Amino acid sequence: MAVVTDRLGIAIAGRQIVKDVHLEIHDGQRVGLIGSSGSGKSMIARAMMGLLPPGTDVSGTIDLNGEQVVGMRDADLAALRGAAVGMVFQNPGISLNPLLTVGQQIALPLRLHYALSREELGQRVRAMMTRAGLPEELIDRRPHQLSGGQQQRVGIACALVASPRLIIADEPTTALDSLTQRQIVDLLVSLVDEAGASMLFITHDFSVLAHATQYCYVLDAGRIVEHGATAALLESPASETGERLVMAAQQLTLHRGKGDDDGRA
Amino acid sequence: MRYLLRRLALFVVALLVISLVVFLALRVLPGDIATIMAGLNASPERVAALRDQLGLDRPLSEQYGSWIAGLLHGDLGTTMLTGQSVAAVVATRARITFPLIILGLLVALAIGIPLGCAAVLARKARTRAFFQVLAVIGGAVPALWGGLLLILLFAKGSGILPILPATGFPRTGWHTPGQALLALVLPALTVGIIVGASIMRYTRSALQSVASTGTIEMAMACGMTRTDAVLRVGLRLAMPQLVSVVGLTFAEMVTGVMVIENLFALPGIGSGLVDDLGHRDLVAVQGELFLLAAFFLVIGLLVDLTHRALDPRLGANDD
Ligand SMILES: Nc1ncnc2c1ncn2[C@@H]1O[C@H](COP(=O)(O)OP(=O)(O)OP(=O)(O)O)[C@@H](O)[C@H]1O
Ligand SMILES: [Mg+2]
Repeated sequence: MAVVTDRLGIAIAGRQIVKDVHLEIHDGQRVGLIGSSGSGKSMIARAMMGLLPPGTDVSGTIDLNGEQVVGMRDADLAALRGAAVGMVFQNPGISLNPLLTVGQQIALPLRLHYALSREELGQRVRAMMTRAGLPEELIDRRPHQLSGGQQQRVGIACALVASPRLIIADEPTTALDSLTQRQIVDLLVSLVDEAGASMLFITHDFSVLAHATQYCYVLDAGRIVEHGATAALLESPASETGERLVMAAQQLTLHRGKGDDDGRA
Repeated sequence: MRYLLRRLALFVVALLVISLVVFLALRVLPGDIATIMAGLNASPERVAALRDQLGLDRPLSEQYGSWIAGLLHGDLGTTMLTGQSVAAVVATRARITFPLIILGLLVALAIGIPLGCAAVLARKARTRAFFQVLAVIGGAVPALWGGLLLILLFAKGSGILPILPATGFPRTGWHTPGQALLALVLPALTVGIIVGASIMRYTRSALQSVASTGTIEMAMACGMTRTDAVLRVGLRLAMPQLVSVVGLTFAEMVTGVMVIENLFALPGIGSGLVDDLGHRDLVAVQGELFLLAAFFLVIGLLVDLTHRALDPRLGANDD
Protein backbone atom coordinates (compact mmCIF):
# COMPACT_ATOMS: atom_id res chain seq x y z
CA MET A 1 0.00 0.00 0.00
CA ALA A 2 1.24 3.48 -0.78
CA VAL A 3 1.23 6.04 2.00
CA VAL A 4 1.81 9.75 1.67
CA THR A 5 1.68 12.17 4.57
CA ASP A 6 1.82 15.83 3.70
CA ARG A 7 2.26 18.83 6.00
CA LEU A 8 1.37 16.50 8.84
CA GLY A 9 1.17 18.28 12.19
CA ILE A 10 0.23 16.77 15.55
CA ALA A 11 -0.48 18.78 18.68
CA ILE A 12 -1.40 17.58 22.16
CA ALA A 13 -2.81 20.03 24.69
CA GLY A 14 -1.67 22.98 22.59
CA ARG A 15 1.91 21.72 22.25
CA GLN A 16 2.99 21.09 18.66
CA ILE A 17 4.77 17.72 18.71
CA VAL A 18 5.01 16.91 15.01
CA LYS A 19 5.46 19.66 12.40
CA ASP A 20 5.17 19.73 8.64
CA VAL A 21 6.08 16.09 8.04
CA HIS A 22 6.18 14.87 4.46
CA LEU A 23 6.77 11.13 4.27
CA GLU A 24 6.20 8.61 1.49
CA ILE A 25 6.03 4.85 1.54
CA HIS A 26 5.73 3.21 -1.86
CA ASP A 27 3.88 0.01 -2.58
CA GLY A 28 5.89 -2.92 -1.22
CA GLN A 29 8.57 -0.69 0.25
CA ARG A 30 10.03 -1.01 3.74
CA VAL A 31 10.70 2.43 5.20
CA GLY A 32 12.49 3.27 8.43
CA LEU A 33 11.78 6.15 10.78
CA ILE A 34 14.53 7.08 13.20
CA GLY A 35 15.06 9.94 15.62
CA SER A 36 15.95 10.53 19.22
CA SER A 37 13.56 9.64 22.00
CA GLY A 38 10.60 12.00 22.19
CA SER A 39 11.03 13.28 18.63
CA GLY A 40 7.50 12.15 17.72
CA LYS A 41 8.00 8.85 15.88
CA SER A 42 5.27 6.97 17.73
CA MET A 43 2.89 9.89 17.24
CA ILE A 44 3.30 9.68 13.46
CA ALA A 45 2.76 5.91 13.54
CA ARG A 46 -0.36 6.29 15.69
CA ALA A 47 -1.72 9.03 13.46
CA MET A 48 -1.63 6.63 10.49
CA MET A 49 -3.74 4.13 12.49
CA GLY A 50 -6.10 6.69 14.02
CA LEU A 51 -4.77 5.62 17.41
CA LEU A 52 -3.88 9.01 18.83
CA PRO A 53 -5.29 9.71 22.30
CA PRO A 54 -8.55 11.74 22.42
CA GLY A 55 -7.86 15.44 22.45
CA THR A 56 -5.02 15.33 19.91
CA ASP A 57 -5.10 17.85 17.05
CA VAL A 58 -3.97 16.52 13.69
CA SER A 59 -3.48 18.80 10.68
CA GLY A 60 -2.34 18.10 7.14
CA THR A 61 -3.07 14.90 5.27
CA ILE A 62 -2.37 11.19 5.56
CA ASP A 63 -3.23 9.39 2.37
CA LEU A 64 -3.53 5.59 2.48
CA ASN A 65 -4.04 4.34 -1.07
CA GLY A 66 -6.26 7.31 -1.85
CA GLU A 67 -8.15 7.32 1.45
CA GLN A 68 -7.80 10.35 3.67
CA VAL A 69 -7.17 9.24 7.26
CA VAL A 70 -7.04 12.64 8.97
CA GLY A 71 -10.50 13.53 10.20
CA MET A 72 -11.95 10.11 9.44
CA ARG A 73 -14.64 8.83 11.82
CA ASP A 74 -13.48 6.23 14.35
CA ALA A 75 -15.83 3.60 12.90
CA ASP A 76 -14.26 4.00 9.44
CA LEU A 77 -10.78 3.95 10.91
CA ALA A 78 -11.66 0.77 12.80
CA ALA A 79 -12.64 -0.82 9.49
CA LEU A 80 -9.13 -0.09 8.20
CA ARG A 81 -7.26 -1.12 11.35
CA GLY A 82 -6.29 -4.76 11.37
CA ALA A 83 -7.65 -5.30 7.85
CA ALA A 84 -5.76 -2.77 5.70
CA VAL A 85 -3.16 -1.63 8.23
CA GLY A 86 -1.59 -3.84 10.88
CA MET A 87 0.44 -2.68 13.84
CA VAL A 88 3.19 -4.44 15.78
CA PHE A 89 3.70 -2.93 19.21
CA GLN A 90 6.85 -2.39 21.21
CA ASN A 91 5.90 -4.40 24.24
CA PRO A 92 3.67 -7.41 23.55
CA GLY A 93 3.85 -8.40 27.23
CA ILE A 94 1.52 -5.55 28.10
CA SER A 95 -0.38 -4.98 24.88
CA LEU A 96 -1.63 -8.54 24.29
CA ASN A 97 -4.91 -9.20 26.06
CA PRO A 98 -3.97 -11.25 29.17
CA LEU A 99 -7.35 -13.02 29.14
CA LEU A 100 -7.22 -14.36 25.59
CA THR A 101 -5.41 -17.47 24.44
CA VAL A 102 -2.93 -17.28 21.59
CA GLY A 103 -5.57 -18.68 19.23
CA GLN A 104 -8.17 -16.13 20.33
CA GLN A 105 -5.73 -13.20 20.00
CA ILE A 106 -4.79 -14.15 16.47
CA ALA A 107 -8.41 -14.81 15.52
CA LEU A 108 -9.55 -11.37 16.73
CA PRO A 109 -8.77 -9.30 13.58
CA LEU A 110 -10.40 -11.98 11.42
CA ARG A 111 -13.49 -12.09 13.63
CA LEU A 112 -13.78 -8.31 13.61
CA HIS A 113 -13.53 -7.97 9.84
CA TYR A 114 -14.82 -11.16 8.25
CA ALA A 115 -17.67 -13.56 8.87
CA LEU A 116 -15.79 -16.85 8.75
CA SER A 117 -16.94 -20.28 9.82
CA ARG A 118 -15.37 -21.83 12.89
CA GLU A 119 -13.31 -24.26 10.84
CA GLU A 120 -12.08 -21.60 8.46
CA LEU A 121 -11.14 -19.36 11.38
CA GLY A 122 -9.23 -22.20 13.05
CA GLN A 123 -7.44 -23.05 9.81
CA ARG A 124 -6.36 -19.48 9.16
CA VAL A 125 -5.17 -19.03 12.74
CA ARG A 126 -3.13 -22.24 12.65
CA ALA A 127 -1.66 -21.35 9.28
CA MET A 128 -0.67 -17.92 10.59
CA MET A 129 0.89 -19.48 13.69
CA THR A 130 3.02 -21.72 11.52
CA ARG A 131 4.13 -18.79 9.38
CA ALA A 132 5.01 -16.83 12.52
CA GLY A 133 7.05 -19.73 13.87
CA LEU A 134 4.68 -20.54 16.71
CA PRO A 135 4.34 -24.27 17.48
CA GLU A 136 0.72 -25.38 17.37
CA GLU A 137 0.69 -26.56 20.99
CA LEU A 138 0.91 -22.92 22.09
CA ILE A 139 -2.58 -22.21 20.74
CA ASP A 140 -4.32 -22.50 24.12
CA ARG A 141 -1.66 -20.67 26.13
CA ARG A 142 -2.20 -17.18 27.48
CA PRO A 143 0.41 -14.42 27.06
CA HIS A 144 1.86 -14.82 30.57
CA GLN A 145 2.74 -18.42 29.71
CA LEU A 146 4.91 -17.40 26.74
CA SER A 147 8.47 -16.13 26.40
CA GLY A 148 9.07 -12.55 25.24
CA GLY A 149 10.01 -13.75 21.78
CA GLN A 150 6.93 -15.94 21.52
CA GLN A 151 4.75 -13.04 22.68
CA GLN A 152 6.13 -10.84 19.91
CA ARG A 153 5.52 -13.61 17.39
CA VAL A 154 1.88 -13.56 18.53
CA GLY A 155 1.88 -9.77 18.12
CA ILE A 156 3.20 -10.14 14.58
CA ALA A 157 0.68 -12.86 13.81
CA CYS A 158 -2.15 -10.57 14.98
CA ALA A 159 -0.85 -7.73 12.82
CA LEU A 160 -0.57 -9.90 9.71
CA VAL A 161 -3.36 -12.45 9.97
CA ALA A 162 -5.94 -10.42 8.05
CA SER A 163 -3.41 -9.71 5.26
CA PRO A 164 -3.09 -5.93 5.64
CA ARG A 165 -1.25 -4.02 2.89
CA LEU A 166 0.68 -1.85 5.35
CA ILE A 167 2.48 -2.90 8.53
CA ILE A 168 3.51 -0.35 11.10
CA ALA A 169 6.11 -1.65 13.54
CA ASP A 170 6.94 0.68 16.43
CA GLU A 171 10.20 -0.55 17.96
CA PRO A 172 9.02 -4.15 17.77
CA THR A 173 12.25 -5.60 19.15
CA THR A 174 13.18 -3.20 21.95
CA ALA A 175 11.78 -5.48 24.64
CA LEU A 176 13.78 -8.52 23.45
CA ASP A 177 17.33 -9.84 23.86
CA SER A 178 19.69 -9.34 20.92
CA LEU A 179 19.50 -12.87 19.53
CA THR A 180 15.69 -12.90 19.59
CA GLN A 181 15.68 -9.37 18.11
CA ARG A 182 17.41 -10.64 15.03
CA GLN A 183 15.00 -13.55 14.61
CA ILE A 184 11.95 -11.33 15.03
CA VAL A 185 13.20 -8.77 12.50
CA ASP A 186 13.97 -11.55 10.01
CA LEU A 187 10.50 -12.97 10.53
CA LEU A 188 8.80 -9.61 10.09
CA VAL A 189 10.76 -8.76 6.95
CA SER A 190 10.14 -12.12 5.33
CA LEU A 191 6.41 -12.08 6.15
CA VAL A 192 5.99 -8.53 4.86
CA ASP A 193 7.86 -9.29 1.64
CA GLU A 194 6.00 -12.55 1.18
CA ALA A 195 2.70 -10.69 1.42
CA GLY A 196 3.95 -7.89 -0.82
CA ALA A 197 2.92 -5.37 1.84
CA SER A 198 4.69 -2.15 2.73
CA MET A 199 6.12 -1.40 6.14
CA LEU A 200 6.95 1.56 8.34
CA PHE A 201 9.62 0.46 10.77
CA ILE A 202 10.51 2.58 13.79
CA THR A 203 13.71 1.68 15.59
CA HIS A 204 16.72 2.92 17.53
CA ASP A 205 18.86 0.04 16.42
CA PHE A 206 20.83 0.81 13.28
CA SER A 207 21.85 -2.73 12.51
CA VAL A 208 18.17 -3.60 12.50
CA LEU A 209 17.44 -0.55 10.38
CA ALA A 210 19.98 -1.52 7.72
CA HIS A 211 18.60 -5.00 7.67
CA ALA A 212 14.89 -4.23 7.68
CA THR A 213 14.49 -1.11 5.53
CA GLN A 214 15.37 0.20 2.11
CA TYR A 215 14.61 3.83 2.68
CA CYS A 216 14.76 5.92 5.80
CA TYR A 217 13.56 9.20 7.34
CA VAL A 218 15.30 11.01 10.20
CA LEU A 219 13.06 12.91 12.60
CA ASP A 220 14.30 15.61 14.95
CA ALA A 221 11.98 17.44 17.36
CA GLY A 222 8.98 16.61 15.21
CA ARG A 223 10.50 17.60 11.84
CA ILE A 224 12.01 15.46 9.10
CA VAL A 225 15.62 16.60 8.80
CA GLU A 226 16.90 14.06 6.32
CA HIS A 227 15.82 11.14 4.19
CA GLY A 228 17.36 8.77 1.68
CA ALA A 229 18.28 5.19 0.90
CA THR A 230 19.07 3.51 4.21
CA ALA A 231 22.53 2.21 3.32
CA ALA A 232 23.68 5.59 1.97
CA LEU A 233 22.19 7.48 4.86
CA LEU A 234 23.92 5.30 7.43
CA GLU A 235 27.19 5.59 5.49
CA SER A 236 27.24 9.37 5.30
CA PRO A 237 24.43 11.18 7.11
CA ALA A 238 23.94 14.72 5.80
CA SER A 239 22.18 16.28 8.77
CA GLU A 240 23.65 16.97 12.17
CA THR A 241 20.96 14.86 13.87
CA GLY A 242 21.60 12.01 11.47
CA GLU A 243 25.30 12.13 12.21
CA ARG A 244 24.74 12.23 15.96
CA LEU A 245 22.34 9.30 15.85
CA VAL A 246 24.66 7.22 13.68
CA MET A 247 27.63 7.93 15.95
CA ALA A 248 25.68 7.00 19.06
CA ALA A 249 24.37 3.86 17.43
CA GLN A 250 27.84 2.79 16.32
CA GLN A 251 29.16 3.18 19.84
CA LEU A 252 26.25 1.21 21.19
CA THR A 253 26.76 -1.56 18.65
CA LEU A 254 30.48 -1.74 19.47
CA HIS A 255 29.76 -1.97 23.17
CA ARG A 256 27.11 -4.56 22.70
CA GLY A 257 29.30 -6.56 20.31
CA LYS A 258 32.03 -6.66 22.94
CA GLY A 259 29.55 -7.65 25.63
CA ASP A 260 28.23 -10.52 23.51
CA ASP A 261 31.73 -11.82 22.85
CA ASP A 262 32.54 -11.74 26.54
CA GLY A 263 29.36 -13.60 27.25
CA ARG A 264 30.21 -16.38 24.84
CA ALA A 265 33.87 -16.75 25.87
CA MET B 1 -7.06 -25.21 45.71
CA ARG B 2 -4.28 -24.44 48.17
CA TYR B 3 -5.19 -20.79 47.86
CA LEU B 4 -8.81 -21.57 48.68
CA LEU B 5 -7.85 -23.47 51.82
CA ARG B 6 -5.45 -20.77 52.90
CA ARG B 7 -8.07 -18.09 52.34
CA LEU B 8 -10.71 -20.06 54.28
CA ALA B 9 -8.31 -20.60 57.18
CA LEU B 10 -7.65 -16.87 57.20
CA PHE B 11 -11.39 -16.26 57.29
CA VAL B 12 -11.87 -18.52 60.32
CA VAL B 13 -8.97 -16.92 62.18
CA ALA B 14 -10.32 -13.44 61.44
CA LEU B 15 -13.74 -14.52 62.67
CA LEU B 16 -12.23 -15.75 65.96
CA VAL B 17 -10.26 -12.54 66.43
CA ILE B 18 -13.39 -10.48 65.78
CA SER B 19 -15.42 -12.52 68.26
CA LEU B 20 -12.72 -12.01 70.88
CA VAL B 21 -12.57 -8.27 70.24
CA VAL B 22 -16.35 -7.88 70.43
CA PHE B 23 -16.52 -10.00 73.57
CA LEU B 24 -13.70 -8.22 75.37
CA ALA B 25 -14.77 -4.74 74.28
CA LEU B 26 -18.00 -5.08 76.21
CA ARG B 27 -16.26 -6.69 79.21
CA VAL B 28 -13.53 -4.11 79.74
CA LEU B 29 -15.96 -1.21 79.74
CA PRO B 30 -15.48 0.71 82.95
CA GLY B 31 -18.02 -0.35 85.58
CA ASP B 32 -20.06 -3.45 86.12
CA ILE B 33 -22.01 -4.68 83.11
CA ALA B 34 -24.98 -5.81 85.11
CA THR B 35 -25.24 -2.39 86.76
CA ILE B 36 -25.01 -0.64 83.40
CA MET B 37 -27.61 -2.89 81.83
CA ALA B 38 -30.04 -2.75 84.72
CA GLY B 39 -30.09 1.03 84.57
CA LEU B 40 -29.76 3.79 87.15
CA ASN B 41 -32.79 3.08 89.31
CA ALA B 42 -32.53 -0.69 89.49
CA SER B 43 -32.63 -2.46 92.84
CA PRO B 44 -29.57 -4.42 94.00
CA GLU B 45 -31.63 -7.62 93.69
CA ARG B 46 -32.37 -6.88 90.05
CA VAL B 47 -28.64 -6.28 89.39
CA ALA B 48 -27.71 -9.52 91.17
CA ALA B 49 -30.32 -11.49 89.20
CA LEU B 50 -29.05 -10.03 85.94
CA ARG B 51 -25.46 -10.80 86.85
CA ASP B 52 -26.44 -14.36 87.60
CA GLN B 53 -28.46 -14.67 84.38
CA LEU B 54 -25.56 -13.39 82.29
CA GLY B 55 -23.07 -15.62 84.08
CA LEU B 56 -20.91 -12.65 84.93
CA ASP B 57 -19.48 -14.30 88.05
CA ARG B 58 -17.86 -17.05 86.04
CA PRO B 59 -14.29 -16.64 84.75
CA LEU B 60 -13.97 -14.70 81.44
CA SER B 61 -12.69 -17.70 79.49
CA GLU B 62 -15.74 -19.71 80.54
CA GLN B 63 -18.11 -16.88 79.54
CA TYR B 64 -16.39 -16.56 76.17
CA GLY B 65 -16.52 -20.32 75.68
CA SER B 66 -20.24 -20.54 76.29
CA TRP B 67 -20.90 -17.50 74.08
CA ILE B 68 -18.97 -19.13 71.22
CA ALA B 69 -20.72 -22.46 71.81
CA GLY B 70 -24.02 -20.59 71.55
CA LEU B 71 -22.88 -18.82 68.37
CA LEU B 72 -22.08 -22.14 66.77
CA HIS B 73 -25.68 -23.19 67.34
CA GLY B 74 -27.03 -19.90 66.09
CA ASP B 75 -27.87 -18.84 69.63
CA LEU B 76 -26.97 -15.19 70.29
CA GLY B 77 -28.72 -14.98 73.65
CA THR B 78 -31.99 -13.21 74.44
CA THR B 79 -32.83 -9.53 74.42
CA MET B 80 -33.26 -7.89 77.76
CA LEU B 81 -36.38 -5.93 76.92
CA THR B 82 -38.65 -8.52 75.33
CA GLY B 83 -36.88 -11.79 76.06
CA GLN B 84 -36.97 -12.71 72.36
CA SER B 85 -33.96 -14.48 70.91
CA VAL B 86 -31.45 -11.99 69.51
CA ALA B 87 -31.06 -14.13 66.40
CA ALA B 88 -34.79 -13.86 65.64
CA VAL B 89 -34.79 -10.10 66.19
CA VAL B 90 -31.78 -9.64 63.91
CA ALA B 91 -33.38 -11.85 61.27
CA THR B 92 -36.51 -9.66 61.28
CA ARG B 93 -34.46 -6.48 60.94
CA ALA B 94 -32.31 -8.03 58.22
CA ARG B 95 -35.41 -8.31 56.06
CA ILE B 96 -35.22 -4.55 55.68
CA THR B 97 -31.49 -3.98 55.78
CA PHE B 98 -30.44 -6.59 53.22
CA PRO B 99 -32.91 -5.62 50.52
CA LEU B 100 -31.88 -2.01 51.16
CA ILE B 101 -28.20 -2.87 50.74
CA ILE B 102 -28.89 -4.83 47.56
CA LEU B 103 -31.10 -2.11 46.06
CA GLY B 104 -28.56 0.53 47.01
CA LEU B 105 -25.80 -1.50 45.38
CA LEU B 106 -27.84 -1.93 42.20
CA VAL B 107 -28.46 1.82 42.04
CA ALA B 108 -24.78 2.48 42.71
CA LEU B 109 -23.64 0.09 39.97
CA ALA B 110 -26.24 1.38 37.52
CA ILE B 111 -24.99 4.93 38.11
CA GLY B 112 -21.30 4.40 38.70
CA ILE B 113 -20.24 2.02 35.93
CA PRO B 114 -21.85 3.77 32.93
CA LEU B 115 -20.72 7.20 34.17
CA GLY B 116 -17.20 5.88 34.80
CA CYS B 117 -17.07 4.52 31.24
CA ALA B 118 -18.48 7.75 29.84
CA ALA B 119 -15.83 9.72 31.70
CA VAL B 120 -13.10 7.68 30.00
CA LEU B 121 -14.72 7.78 26.57
CA ALA B 122 -15.42 11.52 26.60
CA ARG B 123 -13.51 13.21 23.80
CA LYS B 124 -13.78 16.83 24.85
CA ALA B 125 -11.71 18.04 27.78
CA ARG B 126 -14.75 19.99 28.97
CA THR B 127 -16.92 16.85 29.09
CA ARG B 128 -14.25 15.02 31.06
CA ALA B 129 -14.07 17.92 33.53
CA PHE B 130 -17.85 17.77 33.93
CA PHE B 131 -17.70 14.09 34.93
CA GLN B 132 -14.88 14.88 37.34
CA VAL B 133 -16.99 17.53 39.08
CA LEU B 134 -19.94 15.15 39.20
CA ALA B 135 -17.85 12.48 40.92
CA VAL B 136 -16.37 14.91 43.43
CA ILE B 137 -19.77 16.32 44.38
CA GLY B 138 -21.38 12.87 44.63
CA GLY B 139 -18.52 11.60 46.78
CA ALA B 140 -18.53 14.58 49.12
CA VAL B 141 -22.23 14.47 50.05
CA PRO B 142 -22.86 12.91 53.48
CA ALA B 143 -25.64 10.30 53.54
CA LEU B 144 -27.72 12.32 55.98
CA TRP B 145 -27.62 15.45 53.82
CA GLY B 146 -28.34 13.56 50.63
CA GLY B 147 -31.26 11.77 52.26
CA LEU B 148 -32.73 15.03 53.53
CA LEU B 149 -32.41 16.54 50.06
CA LEU B 150 -34.25 13.62 48.47
CA ILE B 151 -36.94 13.85 51.14
CA LEU B 152 -37.38 17.55 50.38
CA LEU B 153 -37.64 16.76 46.69
CA PHE B 154 -39.72 13.62 46.50
CA ALA B 155 -41.18 12.58 49.85
CA LYS B 156 -44.93 12.29 50.27
CA GLY B 157 -46.15 14.94 52.64
CA SER B 158 -43.10 17.18 52.53
CA GLY B 159 -41.60 16.97 49.05
CA ILE B 160 -41.76 19.34 46.10
CA LEU B 161 -42.72 16.41 43.88
CA PRO B 162 -44.40 14.15 46.46
CA ILE B 163 -44.33 10.72 44.86
CA LEU B 164 -42.57 8.42 47.30
CA PRO B 165 -43.07 7.44 50.92
CA ALA B 166 -40.28 8.42 53.29
CA THR B 167 -41.43 7.32 56.71
CA GLY B 168 -41.14 3.81 58.01
CA PHE B 169 -41.90 0.44 56.58
CA PRO B 170 -45.39 -0.97 55.99
CA ARG B 171 -46.67 -2.90 59.00
CA THR B 172 -47.52 -5.75 56.69
CA GLY B 173 -43.85 -6.01 55.68
CA TRP B 174 -42.99 -8.10 52.63
CA HIS B 175 -46.53 -9.56 52.53
CA THR B 176 -47.29 -6.42 50.54
CA PRO B 177 -44.20 -6.41 48.35
CA GLY B 178 -45.19 -3.38 46.31
CA GLN B 179 -45.53 -1.14 49.34
CA ALA B 180 -42.44 -2.58 50.96
CA LEU B 181 -40.36 -1.95 47.86
CA LEU B 182 -41.73 1.57 47.49
CA ALA B 183 -40.72 2.37 51.06
CA LEU B 184 -37.14 1.45 50.19
CA VAL B 185 -36.85 3.50 46.99
CA LEU B 186 -35.79 6.85 48.46
CA PRO B 187 -33.41 5.32 51.01
CA ALA B 188 -31.85 3.10 48.33
CA LEU B 189 -31.47 6.08 45.99
CA THR B 190 -29.74 8.05 48.72
CA VAL B 191 -27.06 5.46 49.46
CA GLY B 192 -26.93 4.38 45.83
CA ILE B 193 -26.09 7.86 44.54
CA ILE B 194 -23.40 8.40 47.14
CA VAL B 195 -21.77 5.00 46.70
CA GLY B 196 -22.33 5.31 42.93
CA ALA B 197 -20.07 8.37 42.89
CA SER B 198 -17.28 6.29 44.44
CA ILE B 199 -17.87 3.45 42.00
CA MET B 200 -17.74 5.93 39.14
CA ARG B 201 -14.37 7.27 40.29
CA TYR B 202 -12.98 3.76 40.75
CA THR B 203 -14.35 2.57 37.40
CA ARG B 204 -12.75 5.53 35.70
CA SER B 205 -9.34 4.97 37.25
CA ALA B 206 -9.51 1.19 36.77
CA LEU B 207 -10.31 1.67 33.07
CA GLN B 208 -7.56 4.22 32.72
CA SER B 209 -5.00 1.95 34.31
CA VAL B 210 -6.08 -0.83 31.94
CA ALA B 211 -5.87 1.55 28.98
CA SER B 212 -2.36 2.61 29.91
CA THR B 213 -1.09 -0.95 29.48
CA GLY B 214 -1.73 -0.82 25.74
CA THR B 215 -4.26 -3.65 25.63
CA ILE B 216 -7.06 -1.33 24.56
CA GLU B 217 -4.82 0.18 21.90
CA MET B 218 -3.97 -3.30 20.65
CA ALA B 219 -7.67 -4.21 20.45
CA MET B 220 -8.22 -1.03 18.46
CA ALA B 221 -5.31 -1.91 16.18
CA CYS B 222 -7.05 -5.23 15.50
CA GLY B 223 -10.13 -3.36 14.32
CA MET B 224 -12.25 -2.20 17.26
CA THR B 225 -13.51 1.35 17.71
CA ARG B 226 -12.35 3.10 20.86
CA THR B 227 -15.81 2.73 22.40
CA ASP B 228 -15.89 -0.97 21.62
CA ALA B 229 -12.40 -1.54 22.96
CA VAL B 230 -13.11 0.28 26.22
CA LEU B 231 -16.46 -1.41 26.80
CA ARG B 232 -15.63 -4.92 25.60
CA VAL B 233 -11.96 -5.28 26.48
CA GLY B 234 -11.35 -2.57 29.07
CA LEU B 235 -14.35 -3.31 31.28
CA ARG B 236 -13.65 -7.04 31.27
CA LEU B 237 -10.01 -6.44 32.16
CA ALA B 238 -11.00 -4.01 34.89
CA MET B 239 -13.54 -6.49 36.29
CA PRO B 240 -11.28 -7.95 39.01
CA GLN B 241 -10.49 -4.43 40.18
CA LEU B 242 -14.16 -3.49 40.06
CA VAL B 243 -15.12 -6.48 42.19
CA SER B 244 -12.58 -5.36 44.77
CA VAL B 245 -14.00 -1.87 44.54
CA VAL B 246 -17.51 -3.08 45.26
CA GLY B 247 -16.04 -4.86 48.29
CA LEU B 248 -14.33 -1.67 49.37
CA THR B 249 -17.43 0.46 48.93
CA PHE B 250 -19.40 -2.08 50.94
CA ALA B 251 -18.20 -0.53 54.17
CA GLU B 252 -19.33 2.87 52.85
CA MET B 253 -22.60 1.26 51.79
CA VAL B 254 -23.34 -0.30 55.18
CA THR B 255 -22.46 2.85 57.14
CA GLY B 256 -24.68 4.78 54.77
CA VAL B 257 -27.51 2.30 55.30
CA MET B 258 -27.19 2.60 59.11
CA VAL B 259 -27.61 6.39 58.93
CA ILE B 260 -30.34 6.19 56.32
CA GLU B 261 -32.42 3.68 58.30
CA ASN B 262 -32.56 6.11 61.17
CA LEU B 263 -33.40 9.04 58.90
CA PHE B 264 -36.22 7.16 57.14
CA ALA B 265 -37.45 5.43 60.32
CA LEU B 266 -36.87 1.96 58.88
CA PRO B 267 -36.68 -0.73 61.59
CA GLY B 268 -33.57 -2.40 60.20
CA ILE B 269 -30.28 -3.57 61.70
CA GLY B 270 -28.79 -0.08 61.79
CA SER B 271 -31.62 1.65 63.59
CA GLY B 272 -32.04 -1.49 65.74
CA LEU B 273 -28.43 -1.28 66.85
CA VAL B 274 -28.96 2.33 67.90
CA ASP B 275 -32.13 1.33 69.80
CA ASP B 276 -30.38 -1.53 71.59
CA LEU B 277 -27.51 0.73 72.58
CA GLY B 278 -30.07 3.18 73.93
CA HIS B 279 -31.64 0.41 76.00
CA ARG B 280 -28.18 -0.69 77.15
CA ASP B 281 -29.04 -4.19 75.90
CA LEU B 282 -25.44 -5.36 75.74
CA VAL B 283 -26.28 -8.98 74.95
CA ALA B 284 -28.09 -7.93 71.81
CA VAL B 285 -25.42 -5.35 70.91
CA GLN B 286 -22.70 -7.96 71.31
CA GLY B 287 -24.49 -10.37 69.00
CA GLU B 288 -25.29 -7.69 66.43
CA LEU B 289 -21.77 -6.31 66.33
CA PHE B 290 -20.42 -9.79 65.81
CA LEU B 291 -22.85 -10.54 62.98
CA LEU B 292 -22.06 -7.24 61.30
CA ALA B 293 -18.32 -7.92 61.43
CA ALA B 294 -18.85 -11.49 60.23
CA PHE B 295 -20.87 -10.11 57.33
CA PHE B 296 -17.97 -7.87 56.28
CA LEU B 297 -15.60 -10.82 56.50
CA VAL B 298 -17.86 -12.93 54.28
CA ILE B 299 -18.03 -10.12 51.72
CA GLY B 300 -14.24 -9.83 51.81
CA LEU B 301 -13.92 -13.58 51.28
CA LEU B 302 -16.33 -13.55 48.32
CA VAL B 303 -14.58 -10.56 46.78
CA ASP B 304 -11.17 -12.20 47.02
CA LEU B 305 -12.40 -15.48 45.55
CA THR B 306 -14.24 -13.75 42.69
CA HIS B 307 -11.28 -11.50 41.99
CA ARG B 308 -9.10 -14.56 41.64
CA ALA B 309 -11.56 -16.47 39.50
CA LEU B 310 -11.76 -13.53 37.08
CA ASP B 311 -8.02 -13.20 36.53
CA PRO B 312 -6.35 -16.23 34.96
CA ARG B 313 -2.92 -14.77 35.67
CA LEU B 314 -3.46 -15.31 39.39
CA GLY B 315 -3.39 -18.84 40.61
CA ALA B 316 -1.93 -20.26 37.43
CA ASN B 317 1.43 -20.82 39.01
CA ASP B 318 0.95 -21.35 42.71
CA ASP B 319 -1.84 -23.91 42.81
N1 LIG C 1 -0.47 11.39 25.78
C1 LIG C 1 0.45 12.37 25.64
N2 LIG C 1 0.14 13.61 26.12
C2 LIG C 1 1.03 14.63 25.98
N3 LIG C 1 2.23 14.50 25.39
C3 LIG C 1 2.57 13.32 24.89
C4 LIG C 1 1.70 12.17 25.00
N4 LIG C 1 2.31 11.13 24.43
C5 LIG C 1 3.51 11.58 24.00
N5 LIG C 1 3.67 12.88 24.26
C6 LIG C 1 4.83 13.71 23.89
O1 LIG C 1 4.98 13.68 22.50
C7 LIG C 1 6.34 13.70 22.15
C8 LIG C 1 6.63 12.62 21.13
O2 LIG C 1 6.31 11.35 21.69
P1 LIG C 1 6.57 10.01 20.89
O3 LIG C 1 6.03 8.92 21.73
O4 LIG C 1 6.04 10.13 19.53
O5 LIG C 1 8.15 9.94 20.85
P2 LIG C 1 9.04 8.82 20.15
O6 LIG C 1 9.81 9.49 19.10
O7 LIG C 1 8.23 7.65 19.80
O8 LIG C 1 10.03 8.48 21.35
P3 LIG C 1 10.60 7.03 21.79
O9 LIG C 1 11.74 6.77 20.90
O10 LIG C 1 11.04 7.28 23.18
O11 LIG C 1 9.49 6.05 21.67
C9 LIG C 1 7.13 13.52 23.44
O12 LIG C 1 7.72 14.76 23.75
C10 LIG C 1 6.11 13.16 24.46
O13 LIG C 1 6.43 13.74 25.68
MG1 LIG D 1 7.92 5.69 20.55
